[in-house]
Amino acid sequence: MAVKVRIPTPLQSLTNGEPEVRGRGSILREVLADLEAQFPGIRGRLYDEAGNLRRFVNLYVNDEDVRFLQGEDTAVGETDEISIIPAIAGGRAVDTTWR
Amino acid sequence: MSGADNQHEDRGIGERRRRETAACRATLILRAPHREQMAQHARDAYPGECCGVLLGTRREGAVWVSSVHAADNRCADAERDRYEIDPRAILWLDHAAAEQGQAVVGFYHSHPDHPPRPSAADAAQAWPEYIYVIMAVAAGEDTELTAWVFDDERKVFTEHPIRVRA
Repeated sequence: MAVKVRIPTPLQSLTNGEPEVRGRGSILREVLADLEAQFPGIRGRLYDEAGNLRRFVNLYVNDEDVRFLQGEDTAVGETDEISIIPAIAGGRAVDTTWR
Repeated sequence: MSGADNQHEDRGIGERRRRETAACRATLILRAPHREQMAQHARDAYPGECCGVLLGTRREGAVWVSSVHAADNRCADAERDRYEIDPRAILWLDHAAAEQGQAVVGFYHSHPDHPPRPSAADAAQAWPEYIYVIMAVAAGEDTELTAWVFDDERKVFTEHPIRVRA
């Protein structure tokens, strides 16, 4: 089955500009593997070399953060929606990185 | 010319080059009420940092803001100099934007008593493509508004021009 996956703007360069794609699988891990096959490089933006979800990336199945579900083993169905949500944070500091 | 004069001239040249370069980049276009909405949020949050989400579209080489959405700052214990937007707010707004044929185009936050320039903390957690708007607030009053996009390859922010229309 193909599950809908929402792609944030910074990653759309990997999905041919599409904000929404579909990945096949019955658990999150399978869907992400299918996305990687369709759009090489996308998994590396989500997971580090050790296989951990990157700190500044949030994955949701519908309205639930997968960190509070079964992680990559979270079951997904045809009517579910996976969302990749960037963590947005920052704040002022002494140093500046601008030009 | 004295050393102090040289430094002053260098800063002036650097500032002029920064503005000239910024003019070649995509413009952030927003309406005056949008600016005031962010300014009011920044004033209300002072001396803490406020944050929020920008929805809009990208067309004609510019980023057009259609709506501004205040978000709670999750950094309750460090809101004086840190902000974090609840990802659920972004999730919800992403869906709402998609239904209207729009998208999350960027985010805003304030810098209380600090220049509206990205900090090391801003750069450490920045994503490319998004417009990051920074509102400076000095002694409780909003001052300057700037817009930035993070270059993921060079790991620096570049400033983008802002056009505020009525």
